[in-house]
Amino acid sequence: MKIAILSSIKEWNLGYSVVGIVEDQITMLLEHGHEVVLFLPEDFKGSVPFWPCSSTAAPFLSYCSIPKVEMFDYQKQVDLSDQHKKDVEKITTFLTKNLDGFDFVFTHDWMFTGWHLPYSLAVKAAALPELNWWHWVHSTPPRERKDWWDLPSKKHKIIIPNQVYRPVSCGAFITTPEQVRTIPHIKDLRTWYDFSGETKKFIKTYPAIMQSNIVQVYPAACDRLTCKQIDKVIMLFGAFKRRGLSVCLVIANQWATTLQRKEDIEKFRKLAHREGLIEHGEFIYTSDSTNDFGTQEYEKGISRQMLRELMLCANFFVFPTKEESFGLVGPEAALSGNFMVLNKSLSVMSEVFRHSGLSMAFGSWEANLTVGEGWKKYLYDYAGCIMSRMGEDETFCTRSLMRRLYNYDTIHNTYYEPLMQECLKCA
Amino acid sequence: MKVAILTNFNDFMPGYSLTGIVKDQMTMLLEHGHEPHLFVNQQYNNKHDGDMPKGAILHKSVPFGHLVDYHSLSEVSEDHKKMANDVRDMLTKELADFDLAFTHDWVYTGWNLPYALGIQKASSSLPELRWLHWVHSLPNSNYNWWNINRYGRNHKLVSFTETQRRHLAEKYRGTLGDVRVIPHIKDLRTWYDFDPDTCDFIKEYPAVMQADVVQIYPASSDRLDSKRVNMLSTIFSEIKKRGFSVCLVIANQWANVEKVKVVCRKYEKFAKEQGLEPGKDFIFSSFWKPEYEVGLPKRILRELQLCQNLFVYPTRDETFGLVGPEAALSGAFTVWNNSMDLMSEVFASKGLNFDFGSFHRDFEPGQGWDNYLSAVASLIISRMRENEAVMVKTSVRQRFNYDSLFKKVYEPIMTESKTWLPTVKKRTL
Repeated sequence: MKIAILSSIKEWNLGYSVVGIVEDQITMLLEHGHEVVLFLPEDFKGSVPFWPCSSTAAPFLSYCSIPKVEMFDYQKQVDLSDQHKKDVEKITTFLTKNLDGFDFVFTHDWMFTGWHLPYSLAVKAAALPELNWWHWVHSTPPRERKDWWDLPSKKHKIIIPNQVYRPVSCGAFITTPEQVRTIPHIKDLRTWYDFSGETKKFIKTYPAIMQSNIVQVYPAACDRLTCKQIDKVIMLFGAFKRRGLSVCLVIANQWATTLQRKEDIEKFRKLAHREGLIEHGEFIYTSDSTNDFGTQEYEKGISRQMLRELMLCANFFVFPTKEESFGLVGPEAALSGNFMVLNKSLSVMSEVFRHSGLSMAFGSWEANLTVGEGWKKYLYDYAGCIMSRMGEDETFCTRSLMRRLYNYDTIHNTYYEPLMQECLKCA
Repeated sequence: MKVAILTNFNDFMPGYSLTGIVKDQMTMLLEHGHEPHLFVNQQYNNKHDGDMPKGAILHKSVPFGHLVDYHSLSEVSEDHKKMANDVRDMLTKELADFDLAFTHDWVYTGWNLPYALGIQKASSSLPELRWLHWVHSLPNSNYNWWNINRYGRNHKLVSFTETQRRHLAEKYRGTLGDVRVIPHIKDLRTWYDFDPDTCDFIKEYPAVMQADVVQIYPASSDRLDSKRVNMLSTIFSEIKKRGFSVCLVIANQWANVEKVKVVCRKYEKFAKEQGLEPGKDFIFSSFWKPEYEVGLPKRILRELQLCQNLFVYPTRDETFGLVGPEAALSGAFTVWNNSMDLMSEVFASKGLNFDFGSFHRDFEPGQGWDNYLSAVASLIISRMRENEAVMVKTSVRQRFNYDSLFKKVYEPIMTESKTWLPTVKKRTL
């Protein structure tokens, strides 16, 4: 789709929330293959950020300047100054000429605030009957409606970020719910934490990292996969899946460079398959990731930055390792806000984590564990206990939900794209 | 103090865990006014020098050799015996005026045996030097060079945990007195490569890193009333009254005019009356540096949010409240305003909910606001303590940050180390 974003932003200051909202919107549209033209006022100062895009398609962003307007906060249309009347004509001509050929136009607060009244009048006057307009309203409509709050045709929709204010917005714009739509704001870990290009590319290849109910990133050198009890982690994830959760287990493995190490990897890959985990979807070795030339990129390991960024996407960390002198990956996972399940059989764990987090026995070098009913049954039952505790954990629930609900892929696929289709196909 | 950190690094890649540990150690020492010198292999490649903390001094003087994973002292080759002499000469020459030497795995692995022998030979020539030897794995074998008695009184082994202290002492044929426990550093500032300005902020307001309960509350200065900053102050003072250390940072924007500054001072005054200390546990970010009166950059804000563990959001008026999802993504324990219908939509009724009133639903607690907010504080504490994710994160933040480890562990051991010297005429602490 070819989309125009019209704004009156005069400076790209992320402290101003609309700038952040527009920035996320552009990122999402570019990542999903749309063509975007950002319209900024002539008197815009400074520069806008560069949008590196991880997509291999060829979406692009360009810029266009809108005629500038002296800002004034109008209360009524009748107060419009002569200069602003001339500005309306100028902007109307500009929009009619420059928006031809676009599929959608997004505006931000143009139809709402008194400051944007000249723009609002120009939008209504522009001769663009086929164009679809989505007008974002970024505040709660005050009880007293303004006399320019109306929509010229069914091609115009008011967009608000929540359902709750939909009735009041319908009343304010004297329209029906069909023309007032809800699209939540984007709040995506990738943009909020400015993830590196390589992490974004990795997530694009393995979207379950962003979308699954339970995500773990487990760093392990390939010569220590057995000692780290990767088998127990895989079986636990298999149990979560059988209990109905979507899962994603990422083994951030290092030194997958020799034949012996590659054989070790294969052994656990087969186990994951037997446990019902889909390879490259629900069970991922970072060393499998290939670069644009088809060769393995991360055989020696992923960068520290990439590791900590992936850990921010994780919400769970089970640490059944048999032997550690400290286990630095544990504190790293904890600092990322993960729900921790530690190995009760390894006494060092209770010291490092001061008995916080959930503890369960996995056996260790100092305390062998034989499980009468077999590991599969044992871990299936424990998966139930863990799910019960996680369900009680407000932080786990809220954090996981925010990751899945408001990332730009979900928002695009659940809200933007369906509404675009509705506008185009059901017109 | 002048501290030598002895490694045989050929490279400085923080992805390799030992490099990360050494990097954190140097950062900590520099931050606390000490002078760390990193000793690396003569063939060190300088490729990743940019990753090294600024101020650390590099010495490419550790003798190079083709190393072998020895299993016994008797296997040591003539070449490696000669190498041990080279190590002795280097240490004697280079460490003459140092106070402390930290070694990493030198007295442990078979690969490093020539370095261990070099230390034994140099020790008597360096009587004023105190040594701490890190052992980075669990010693499960019984090698015949694992003997702390061969090094002297001014040498101690380092275990990361009390749990393994006795084990390490036994493996090295020593006593508990030969082993000191020093946990690893895992600090949000270095793990997430915080911006230098964020580190400055934490230095100015250390409670952000150290307090039991921390919240970062972004708010435009013209919306402090609507965001209910006073209500939040009361909740935090109630938490403080219950014996917890607290830190509430108002990350405010647009405080660049005098009129707004006066308003902020009024909020500070209210917080002080409630029992909070402005500038210590109640902080307006705009009063930190003039350049941030208009607001903190996104990066500093999200980094500070990673330090928080609580986010109470009593705001009266929002259309979405983007700061809520931001706080939730940082892993904070979230408390929403039940009086605002959109909160249950945006947050899908997850997290804790209390009525705080809103623009569309008035709320007046029957027992009065003070009693009500006091009860809210109690409930927040009770629920937070039940919350595994928050408790682990808070514990790791408070205990393993480099300021805490320096003050509670390193500095006392460094001071005590002066008493290890057998030949010191005047022992001064």
